Amino acid sequence: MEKDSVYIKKITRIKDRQIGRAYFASIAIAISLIAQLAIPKSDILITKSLPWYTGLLIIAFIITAVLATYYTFFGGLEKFVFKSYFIGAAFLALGLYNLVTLKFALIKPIFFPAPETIINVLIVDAGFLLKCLLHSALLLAYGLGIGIITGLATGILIGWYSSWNYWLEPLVKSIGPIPSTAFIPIALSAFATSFQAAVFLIALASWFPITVLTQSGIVNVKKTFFEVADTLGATDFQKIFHVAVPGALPNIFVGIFNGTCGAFLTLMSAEMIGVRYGIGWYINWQREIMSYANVYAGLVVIAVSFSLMIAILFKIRDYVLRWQKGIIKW
Amino acid sequence: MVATGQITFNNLRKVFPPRTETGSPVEALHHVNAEVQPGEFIALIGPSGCGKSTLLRLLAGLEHPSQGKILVDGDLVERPSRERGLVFQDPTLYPWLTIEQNVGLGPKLAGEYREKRDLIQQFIDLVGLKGFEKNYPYELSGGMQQRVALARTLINYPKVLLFDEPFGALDAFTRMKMHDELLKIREHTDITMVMVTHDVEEAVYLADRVFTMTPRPAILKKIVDVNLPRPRRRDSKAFIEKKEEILDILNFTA
Repeated sequence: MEKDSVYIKKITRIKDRQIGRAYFASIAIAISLIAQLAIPKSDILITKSLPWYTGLLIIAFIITAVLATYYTFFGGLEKFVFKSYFIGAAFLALGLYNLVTLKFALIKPIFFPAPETIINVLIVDAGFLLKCLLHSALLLAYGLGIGIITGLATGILIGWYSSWNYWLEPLVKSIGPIPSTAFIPIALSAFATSFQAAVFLIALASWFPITVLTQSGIVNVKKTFFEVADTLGATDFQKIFHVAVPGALPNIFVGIFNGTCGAFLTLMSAEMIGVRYGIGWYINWQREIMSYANVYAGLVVIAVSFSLMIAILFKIRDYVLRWQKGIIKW
Repeated sequence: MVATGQITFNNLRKVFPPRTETGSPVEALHHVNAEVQPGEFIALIGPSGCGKSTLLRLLAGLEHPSQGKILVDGDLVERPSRERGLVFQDPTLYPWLTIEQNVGLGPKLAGEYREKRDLIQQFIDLVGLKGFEKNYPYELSGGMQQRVALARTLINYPKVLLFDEPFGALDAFTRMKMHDELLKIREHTDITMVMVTHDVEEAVYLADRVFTMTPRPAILKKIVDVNLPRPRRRDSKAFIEKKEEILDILNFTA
């Protein structure tokens, strides 16, 4: 009836195919590769040459060239073609950085290591980096887990019950806005281990935004939704879990997103100050012994793992809020 | 089976507290006395501010009377209950539930969702939405959503079904179609129905009796027996005369 399920698969016609765009990535990577092979290493650098950057470029070139060629003959791969400019530009930027560091040594090599040195750390130090990452992940899992659970509980209590709101809201409003890193000195002395202290700080950082957004989400659920639930025979408790919480879910996800970002920040700060092990601790330690290639490698690990986590969070949100289609999302 | 759904309004009065400090209390209902027979279809009609929606909300148990009482089958109405279903102008479907889950919410809250799966399907079929079980409300048109709202209430087998301008937001053609579907559903059930409306034609087309109400003072002015044979024809002379009679009571004729 009203359900237009007629979905025409989009197959781009041959003359409409953007061949140039598709090959842009491979061409850009080839340029970077030629620069890497043709220009000799700067004389200032006395470190031995490493094959990793060249290898990365070759692999990237092969992959993009194969994809672009497949597209040229068979179509499809819309997403790759769309992203091709960006991939190319990213490799050009990396190539430029390689020129500035490895080839001409225009900036201090000790603070700005060449790509191949950074990749070298990622490969040689992989085991230890992974260990650090797991340690951080464990901290984050405990802290964020506790933060989400307590945040949801507090938000529901102060959003639904006026007596809880009376006693708890002032507390939430006064403790919440304090950056949780300000509690580091207290937490380190109050808890038996630095691990516990860090879990507490991360939980605190994520608890506040989740509490506030759960509360505001519940308060903003349409009144008639509760009235209908009343006439369907819902108890007070059922109204919380069948109406208030699902209605507040879009806000709750904003809260969890903010809470997660706050948790990342607190995790790094806690690790740089007191906690032993973890990726933040690794970065700080490597900085102290002036091995900046390792610092960059640590940053790469953080960037990849954190953005992966956010991507997963967004996927979960898209699934849970699939009923919200058509409404503007953040 | 004993017919159920008998309603008594006994000296019902509702006063809302003043909105501002200097204002006076607003009397939304001024002593209403009336009886509704089991299985009857009542339309409450009148201009805005006449207290018709207040009367319906009192009957649903969403508001408490300032004075007097409402009895349904002899029991005092004190709080909302699944025995008195309510359909708003806005379908108020839960957007996070599928059509099936929306219709099945009443059984689910009662802890009998699994046992009543067949019944849920039956009611979805009854309102003509077979095939939309797994859809979300945003995928349905306004009229279809309102039918889901109707099924969601009917599945609880209420004694009384209350409508607050249920078709007010629909276009004229959809509304007429919904009227006929509602009458078709009535053939299957003997639920007492009370509908608030501002559409005289709708009232005459559907109702057995029409309660005309006026604002300031908010009183039940007159009860009009429609008393026309069904199916009713909107263009028949008797129908038009009935409309004029009601408009006359509400002081809307020249």
